[in-house]
Amino acid sequence: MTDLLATPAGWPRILLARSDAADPTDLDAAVRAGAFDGLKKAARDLGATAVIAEVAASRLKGRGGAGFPTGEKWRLAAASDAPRRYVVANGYEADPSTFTDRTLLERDPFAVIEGALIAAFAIGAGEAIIAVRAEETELVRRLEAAVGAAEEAGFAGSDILGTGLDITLSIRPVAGAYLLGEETILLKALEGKRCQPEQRPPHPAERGLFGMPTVVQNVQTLALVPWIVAHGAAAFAALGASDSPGTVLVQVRTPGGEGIAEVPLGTPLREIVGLGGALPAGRSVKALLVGGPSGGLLPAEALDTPYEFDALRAAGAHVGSGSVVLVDDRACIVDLARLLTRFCSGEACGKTIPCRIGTRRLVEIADRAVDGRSSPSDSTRLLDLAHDIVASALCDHERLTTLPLGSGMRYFRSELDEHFLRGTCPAGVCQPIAVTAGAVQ
Amino acid sequence: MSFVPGLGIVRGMALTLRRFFEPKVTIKYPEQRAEVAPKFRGRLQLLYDEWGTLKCETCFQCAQACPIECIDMGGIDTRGRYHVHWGPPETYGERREESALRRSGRTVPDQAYEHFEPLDLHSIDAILEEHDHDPKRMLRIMEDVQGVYGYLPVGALKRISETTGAWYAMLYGTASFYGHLRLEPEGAARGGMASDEAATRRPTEAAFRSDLDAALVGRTPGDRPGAPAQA
Amino acid sequence: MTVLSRSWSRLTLPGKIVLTVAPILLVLTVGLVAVIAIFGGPILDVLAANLPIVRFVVAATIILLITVPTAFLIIYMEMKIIALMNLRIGPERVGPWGSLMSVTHGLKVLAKEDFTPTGADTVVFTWAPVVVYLASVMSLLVIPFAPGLFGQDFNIGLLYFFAVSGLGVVGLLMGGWSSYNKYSLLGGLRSAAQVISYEIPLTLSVVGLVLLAGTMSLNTIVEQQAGWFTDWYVFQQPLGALIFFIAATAEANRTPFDLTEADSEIVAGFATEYSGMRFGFFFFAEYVNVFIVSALIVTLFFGGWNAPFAWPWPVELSADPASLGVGLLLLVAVVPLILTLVFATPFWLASSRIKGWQALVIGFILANLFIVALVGGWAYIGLDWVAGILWFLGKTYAFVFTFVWMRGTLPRVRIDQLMDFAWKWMLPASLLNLFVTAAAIVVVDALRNGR
Repeated sequence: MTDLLATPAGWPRILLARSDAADPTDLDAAVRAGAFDGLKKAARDLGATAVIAEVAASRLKGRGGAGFPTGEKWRLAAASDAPRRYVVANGYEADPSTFTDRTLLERDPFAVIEGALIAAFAIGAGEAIIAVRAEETELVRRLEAAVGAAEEAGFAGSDILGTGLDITLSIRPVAGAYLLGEETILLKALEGKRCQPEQRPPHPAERGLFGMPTVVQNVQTLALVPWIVAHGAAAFAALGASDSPGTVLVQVRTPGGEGIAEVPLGTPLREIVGLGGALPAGRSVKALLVGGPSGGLLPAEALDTPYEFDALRAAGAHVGSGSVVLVDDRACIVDLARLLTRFCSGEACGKTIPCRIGTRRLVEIADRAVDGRSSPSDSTRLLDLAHDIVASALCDHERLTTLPLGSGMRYFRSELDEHFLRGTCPAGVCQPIAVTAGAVQ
Repeated sequence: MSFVPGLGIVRGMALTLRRFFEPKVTIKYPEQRAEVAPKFRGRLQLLYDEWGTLKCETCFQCAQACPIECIDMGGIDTRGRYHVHWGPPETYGERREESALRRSGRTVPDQAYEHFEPLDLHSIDAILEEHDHDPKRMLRIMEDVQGVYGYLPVGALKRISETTGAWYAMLYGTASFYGHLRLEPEGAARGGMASDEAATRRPTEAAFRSDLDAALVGRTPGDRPGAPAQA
Repeated sequence: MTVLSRSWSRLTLPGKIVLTVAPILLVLTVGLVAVIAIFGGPILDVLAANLPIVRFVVAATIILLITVPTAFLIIYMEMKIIALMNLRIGPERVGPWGSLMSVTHGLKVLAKEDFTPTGADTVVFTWAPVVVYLASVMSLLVIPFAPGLFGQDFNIGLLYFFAVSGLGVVGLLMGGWSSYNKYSLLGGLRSAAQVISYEIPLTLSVVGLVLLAGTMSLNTIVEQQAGWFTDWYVFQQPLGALIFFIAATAEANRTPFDLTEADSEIVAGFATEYSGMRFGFFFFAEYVNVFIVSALIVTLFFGGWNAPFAWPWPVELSADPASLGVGLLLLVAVVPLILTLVFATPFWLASSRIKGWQALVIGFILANLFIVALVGGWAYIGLDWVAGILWFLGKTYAFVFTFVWMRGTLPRVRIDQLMDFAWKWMLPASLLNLFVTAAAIVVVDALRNGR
């Protein structure tokens, strides 16, 4: 498990409310701590339509990275007339360096289970699937134990809480690559097909798993739902930022320390970074990598940006997998951006040309910059390429792959220009490299 | 008189008339055949490799692709019976199994009829029983099997395939996707990489993590990306 | 009885067929002979009494019968010649040098499903190909193939010809309209527009010729071109001939004016909805049209069935083989043998590798060729219609070759270019030709009379 960071006392603890349980798979202890209250209220008091209304009123946004309003998604799925509907909890954390979803699943599986059940109940789905990484065998075992306990207690399976509803809950280990974080690809993996993204519309909420309306939500989103149902939409909407209420798990990494914290949305980046500990003496903040391997590089001046969907997007980054990495002046932006772009490009599925070839060209531009062999037109080419990729992209992977270099061009232009135009590295990092096998095969 | 109306037509027709009498370029297959380079891959013949083995995997692609359905495929299946198969390979899963079988776990060219050592299958059965013969748990099944034998023997994979119903090709694919599953006994092929168990499960991600670590602390001059940083 | 059934079951299938059909044929033959013997006389008398009608019926039948082989031949020519011009080989497997390919095409067309599209006007849809085909066939009636070999010699033959081939437009429109397909309709209207636009230059360009010839009878026109090739009307009406040639190409929907049937255009134009034998009718009609148009060009401007040179000396071959009596029998028996030996000997003597029997075979073939040449030459000289038909067909097929040659070479014009060309260039040119011819006639006449 990744360590949890200490957070200020005033911050709400929803996701990590039961995170210090001795045995996270102990259902009785969890119920005593408040698990499945939301499900009971939803099933007995509220009813499906009211649940959707609550979630919509709470303005909850998906924590998977895109921030789509959850209530709308559920409404869309519930409104379609199809014989079956599905709920898929995306616990496949594609970001290799972030462990927030996995930590949540380890420490409080019942929150996710309850959220999935409430979602299934709300949209009328008969099956809820929690997708996790196949190689996390211990985690899968624990989740299956938790599901078993929930079924025994009558919270899942047939005749839930005596209401006569049947909701099957299953844990599906999926094996794949970085792309499985994308919802259409995850659905394809669950169906056993080749994992390439699909055109949206139609959204999975209209036509998803096996052609049926499917609500795909990140496990954090689902873990917030029980609290919303139990405490009311207004209470939730009061937390966090006004148009992005609630909290999110952020993995903070600074030279001083690393860990996971539950952060209310809207918190300035400065506070978040401060959770990780102070910088060592003599070092200054150079950049913030916000959003994982396809995140944006924000300058030190952006430390006051609130950590929430729209503000980050406007700044040129995104919430993404919930990772905030503090980059100090030892690192070279170009080197870092190259590494990130290389990883993302290597993880491309190859379906579309802008991704398959365009991101490769970005990597080549970055490689040349790191080598000091840039051609004079490389910087314009980089901007044009990034623009074209974003304009012609089929799925978000391509768009986000352009973020590291794109935000680099936006905020660290002088440093990039040093590489492009003069072939030197101000940070003293970049050296001519041999052609290596690496992330990009 | 550079522009004479109709001259273009006359010149064009003169050209075609000249072509009328010129030798033709058609190659009258099959009496005449076009010359092709030795490395041409479109030849309608099966080739042999340097050991005299037929370079055919019975993948059925040729039979399936042939528009006039003139290709038959036959051979001895895993139970020693001779069949002539023709048609889409999905209906002849047995053929595909045998082909995947022949090629698994080996890094040398085809040596068709290599002897497999006898294997004690009881432990495999026990493991499968424990996992309820569920193909969705294939990774864990394989990890357990590897725990018993030290690697994944072909016989074990065959057994798993037969009892769970999962296709051998799927098993082979799963085994080759994860870095910690071995298809050959340890020390047999490449030199072992001593590294963290979890890290080698997904080599690509492990490489990214170490690269990120190195990039954040700034590589010292002379480091190659992917090597641990000397901070 | 069992013996019969056992022997019957021992037969192979062809055997069974032959054994069933042979007696029937035998009976029929005997019956026919009997009928002829008994009723032959009176029938012949009746026929003799109405010879013109008989002649007409026979001519019409022959014309109907020759259109299909002609079409086959021209189709084969087109495939082969265009292939050779494209440096390909064309059909070469089906018959010797692929000559049975068009027969295969004909069979294929017969074997296709014959349907009428829903919503189509069935009667009109069915009759359209018939009208088009008939228009082509009927215009063959007036073409003189050889002296004495023509369907009918009207004194308004040319007018009849244009009138009847104009009926083809009706067929096109019927086809396009009744298909219940807007694209067919469009194609049909375009075809019709093309044909009627080019009919005017077509007819106007021969008016000059008619003025010169003084008659519209095709037979007479051909007779007027007897003598050397300089007597051919093409030298007296060069512009007219050229205009006629171009307009005839457009009338026959041949490249470069074949946009109505080009696949890249509206599929097959008016014939899109036609399949099977109905389409076969359109298909054949087009190739018969090519033949007719070539025949007409040859008739009007290139001397018809006349040889390009005049036979300088009068030849009277009045040999009557029957007068030889028994000598004929001897001749027929002995001459081939002698000729074979005569032709074989040089080969046998010249090379030791050629054995006796091989030399004899070569000799036999050569003897046959020689005899055929002799007889042919005799027929050519003696019977004027043999020469006539050979020259006529030769010249016509030379023009068919030219049409095919143009198809293999030229790109096609657009519909607006086509119409432009017809109304802005061909029509004024043919009018010009007419006026100049008329003026010339008047002037020459005046000069002659004034003298």
